[in-house]
Amino acid sequence: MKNQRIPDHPYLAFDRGRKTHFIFDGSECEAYENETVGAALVAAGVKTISRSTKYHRPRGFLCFTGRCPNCMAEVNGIPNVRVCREKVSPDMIVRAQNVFPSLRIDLYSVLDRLDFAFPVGFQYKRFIRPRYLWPFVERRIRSVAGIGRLPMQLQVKREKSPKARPVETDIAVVGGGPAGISAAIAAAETGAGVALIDEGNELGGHLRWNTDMEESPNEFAGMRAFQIAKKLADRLVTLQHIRIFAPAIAIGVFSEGILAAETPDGLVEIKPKRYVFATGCTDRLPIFENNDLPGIMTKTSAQILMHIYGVRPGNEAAIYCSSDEGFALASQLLDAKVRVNAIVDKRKGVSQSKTLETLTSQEVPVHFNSRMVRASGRNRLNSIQTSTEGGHGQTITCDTLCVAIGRQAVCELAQQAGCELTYDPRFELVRPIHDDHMKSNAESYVAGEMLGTQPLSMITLEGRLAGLSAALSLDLGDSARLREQADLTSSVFGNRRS
Amino acid sequence: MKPKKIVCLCEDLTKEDLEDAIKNGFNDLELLKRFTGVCTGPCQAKFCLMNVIQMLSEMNHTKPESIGVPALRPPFRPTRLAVLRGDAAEE
Amino acid sequence: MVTPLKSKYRVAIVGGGVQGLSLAYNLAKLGEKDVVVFEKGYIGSGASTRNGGLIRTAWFSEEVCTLMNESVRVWEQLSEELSFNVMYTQRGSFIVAGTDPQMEFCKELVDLHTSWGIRTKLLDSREAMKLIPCFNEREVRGGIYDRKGGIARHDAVVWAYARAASHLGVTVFPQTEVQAIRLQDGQVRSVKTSQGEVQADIVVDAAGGHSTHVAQMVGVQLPTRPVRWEAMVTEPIKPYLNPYVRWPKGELYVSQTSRGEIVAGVDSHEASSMDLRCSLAFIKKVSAALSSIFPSLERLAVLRQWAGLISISDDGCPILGPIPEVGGFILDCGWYIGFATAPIAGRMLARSVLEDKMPKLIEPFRYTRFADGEQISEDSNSERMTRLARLNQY
Repeated sequence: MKNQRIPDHPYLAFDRGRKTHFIFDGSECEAYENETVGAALVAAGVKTISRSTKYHRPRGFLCFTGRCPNCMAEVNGIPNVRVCREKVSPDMIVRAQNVFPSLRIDLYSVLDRLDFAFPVGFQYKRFIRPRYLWPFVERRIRSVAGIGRLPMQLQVKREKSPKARPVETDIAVVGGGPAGISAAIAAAETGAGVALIDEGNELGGHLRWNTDMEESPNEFAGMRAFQIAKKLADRLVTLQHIRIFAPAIAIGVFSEGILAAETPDGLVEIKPKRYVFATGCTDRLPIFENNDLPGIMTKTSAQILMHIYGVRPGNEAAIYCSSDEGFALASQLLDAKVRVNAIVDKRKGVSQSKTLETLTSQEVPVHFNSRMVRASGRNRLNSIQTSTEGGHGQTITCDTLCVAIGRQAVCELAQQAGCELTYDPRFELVRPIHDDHMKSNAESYVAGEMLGTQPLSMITLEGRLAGLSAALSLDLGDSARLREQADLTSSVFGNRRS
Repeated sequence: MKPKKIVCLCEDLTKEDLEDAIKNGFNDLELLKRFTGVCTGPCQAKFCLMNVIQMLSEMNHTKPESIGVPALRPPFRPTRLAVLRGDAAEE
Repeated sequence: MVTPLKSKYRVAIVGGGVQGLSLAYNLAKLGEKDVVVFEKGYIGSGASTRNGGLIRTAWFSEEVCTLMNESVRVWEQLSEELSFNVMYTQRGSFIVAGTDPQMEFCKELVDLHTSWGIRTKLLDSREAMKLIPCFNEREVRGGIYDRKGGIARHDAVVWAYARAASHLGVTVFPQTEVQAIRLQDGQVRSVKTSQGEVQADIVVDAAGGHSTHVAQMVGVQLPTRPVRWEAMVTEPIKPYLNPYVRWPKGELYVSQTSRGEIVAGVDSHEASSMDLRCSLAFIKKVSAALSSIFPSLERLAVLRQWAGLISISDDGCPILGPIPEVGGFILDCGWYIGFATAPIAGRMLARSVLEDKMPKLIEPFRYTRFADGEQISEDSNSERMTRLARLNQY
C-alpha cells in the first residue's frame, strides 16, 4: 500500500491527528483526522481525481487551494466539492463525478479523440434543419453536460442555516497574509475597530506553507516563513479592537456596502467604513502540450502538501520556473525526500545564488533558457520535453511537475468595491490602481503580493501603510501616525523610484 | 489522450479553440467569453484570465492594457445555496 | 475591414440589443436596407445577454398573451430563418399554485387563456409532481402548465440577428454611443454619436435600460424608469429540471440550461436604479426561494450573480411605435419581456415603420395608450395582479 507521507522532516513536525478512513470510489482510503480528502488521496498515491468536462481527460490536483476546477468530487451526496480543502470525516463517501463507468476507465474519453467534431461554437452552426433535430440533440447534450448530480428529493432532514451575523466595524481587512496582518496591526494601533478575514484555518497566508529562511537583516532574520507567519499572527491577537474571522471565505462586496463571508458558523456580514484588500495571488497555469496531466501542480500545491500535510507530492519531480522561487522549491522538495530530476528555468541565467550552488552540489540539473514543450504520459505524467531558445531539446523523467511561472492577482473583491483595475506590465499582472498611500478609491486600500510586490519586507511595509492610511482617513491616529505614514510612503515608493 | 494545450481547465478550451474564435471576430474579451465559455466556469477566471488577456493582446496587436477586464462578480468561490440563504430559511 | 460611417441613413436604431437588432433585420428583410444600429458597448451588452432567456405564452393579460403566442410561432422557426442555431428549446413552463385559492385563480386564468387562444393546462399536485419530481410537495397544489414554454440562448439570439442583419446590408456600430438627437421643425433630423454625426429620417429608441435617457434627448419624458434586475447561475449539474418554473410565492423564476446550469432570478422591487453592482439581499432571497421550492438544490453552489438594467413602464408593458410630439421618433422600449418578444416585435415594428401604421397585434402597446387611459392589466396595480399577489400572502 502506497504511503507518501513524510516520515521525518528536517525541521517540520506534523500533527496528523488520529487515524481514520473514508471511501473513495468504493475502496477504503486510509487518512488522518487533520488531513483533507485530497491530502489523504495524494498520500495514498492517487494522481487522478476527476475527468474534464468536455473531453473527459484525466485531471489531478493542481492548486490545492480550492480555486481550480480539477479536484471536484461528490462527497456524501453533495456535488462539486473541492476535496483538496474538504476535511476528512469517518466513513465519508467520496465519488468521482461525470464518469462512466469509472474514473480510471471513462468511456467518454473517446470524445478527446473526436475533438474535430466538436469545435468551439459547433452548436451554433449545426442542428438547424430539420427542426426536430435540435430538441433531440439538446437532450443528448444535457445528459452529457453537467458535472455533479442532485437527487430529486432529499432523504435526510433539511440542513438548518444559522442566522447571518452582522458586524459593524471601522476597517475590514481582507486577507490574513503578511500584508493583511500588517495592515490590521497598524490600523488597530490607532484605535480603529478592525475585522480581519482569511480563508485559512490559521493566519499567515502563503507564509504558512513556505519554509524559506528570511535573509534580510530585519526583525525576521533567520526565521523561516511559517515561523514569521506565527510571529505576525501572535502579535495581532494581542491587540484590542480586532475581530478575526478564520476560516472565512469571502463571498463578495455587495452594493449595500457589505462584505459577506462564509464561516463554519454561517454567514458573516461585515459593514466597514473602509476596506484593505490584501488578497494575494493565484499561481498561473503555463500553456504547453498536455499541461493538464495529473502530476502537474503549482508550486503552492506542492508546498501545501509537503509543509501543511506532510505528504510528498510525488517521487521524482521536475520544476518549471522563471525566478529563484524554483530553486527554493527544489530545496524544499529535497528536504521532503523527493528526487528533483531537473529545474527548467526560462531565464537566461542568474548571476549568483546560494541556493543554486547548493542544488548544483546536490546534482540537481538546472536548464536555463529553457521552456516546456510537452508533458507526456498516458493518463498521468511520466516525463516532460523541454526546449532551449536554440532548439535544443531534452526529455526528463518525472512523475511530478511543479510550475512557478507567474501569478494572477486576486482582484475580485477590490473590483466589487469599486476599485479600478489596471494591467501592470512590470509584473504582467492585472491589479487595482493605488496612490502613494495605497489608496485605491474613496473607501478602499490595497497592499501586498496582489500588486506584484516582493520581497516580504516590502509586503509588510505596504500592508502597514495601507492599514495606517485607512485609519487616518477616518480621523483616527495622531500627528505621530501622520509622520509614520510619510516615512512609510517614502520607504515604499522612494525605494521603487530609485 | 490527444496532445492539447489547455488554456481553460473548466471548459476544456485549448489555445487553438481560443485562437479560432478570436480570428472569427470574437476578439473582444466579453464576446470571447460568451462565445467560448472561457472565464465562465467553476474557477471563474482564476486560472485563465491573464493567459486570455495575453492571447487577445498578441492576436489583436495591441497592448494588454487595452484588453480590459471582465466584471468579476460574487461569489468569490462557488457557494452553496444552504449557506447563501443566511437567515432567510424557514422550516 | 471596418465599414465607415455614412453621412445619412434612412433609419437609425439606438441600441444594439435583441430588440434593436431584430428590428434592423426585419426592416432589411422587408426591403429597407438603409439602416444603421448604434450600440454603446458590445452588441447585446445590456439586458439582452443578461436575462434568463425564458419564453412562455402564459401571461395575465390578453394583449401580452396574444403577443407572446405569436412570438413563439416565430421562435419555433427562428434558427432556420436566421441560419444560426439560437438553441431554442421548448421544454414547457409551469406556474406554481401553492394554495386552494391560488388554484382557483389559476383555473380562472386557464379559462381566460383558452378564450384568448392560448393552450395552457391546469395540473393538480400529482400531475405537477410527475412533471417536476424535484418540487417541495408541500408548496405545490398544482398550477398552470404551458407546453409552449421554452428557453433560448441569449447570446446566440443577439449574434444571429446581428449576422443576419449585416448579411442583408444593415450596418452595426458597436462601441458607439449616441450622445444627442437633433430635431428640426418637430421632426428628427440627425443623430450625434461618438464616431460622428449622421442624418436620419427615422430614429428608433431601442436602448433598453437607457431608453428613458434617449427619449429625453428629444425632450420626451417617458412613463418608464430604469430598474436594476439581478440574476444568478449555479454550477452545471445533470438534468434536474425540465420545464422552467415560476413560483409567485417566492417571486421566483428558475430554469435549467442545456449546459446544466440552474439560472434563477426574483422580481425586483427597486424604485429606480442604474446600479449594476450585485446586492446581498438578492442572492439571499433567491437562494432561500430556490431551496424552499426545490429542497435538494440547497446542495448546489452558486457560480455567479450579475445585474442588468431594464426600463419598466407604468403598466409593466412595452411602449411601442411613434409619438405625436416628435415626427420620425419611434419607441421600442419599456420592455420587461423584451427577450421573449424580440422576434415578433421586430417583425411588427418593421411593418409599423414602413407602413406608417401600427399592426393590430402591437397596437395595444402604443405610446398614446397612457393618454387614452388604456393601460394594460399586466400592471401590478391591476385588479388581476393584485388578486394574484394577495393570494401569495399566507
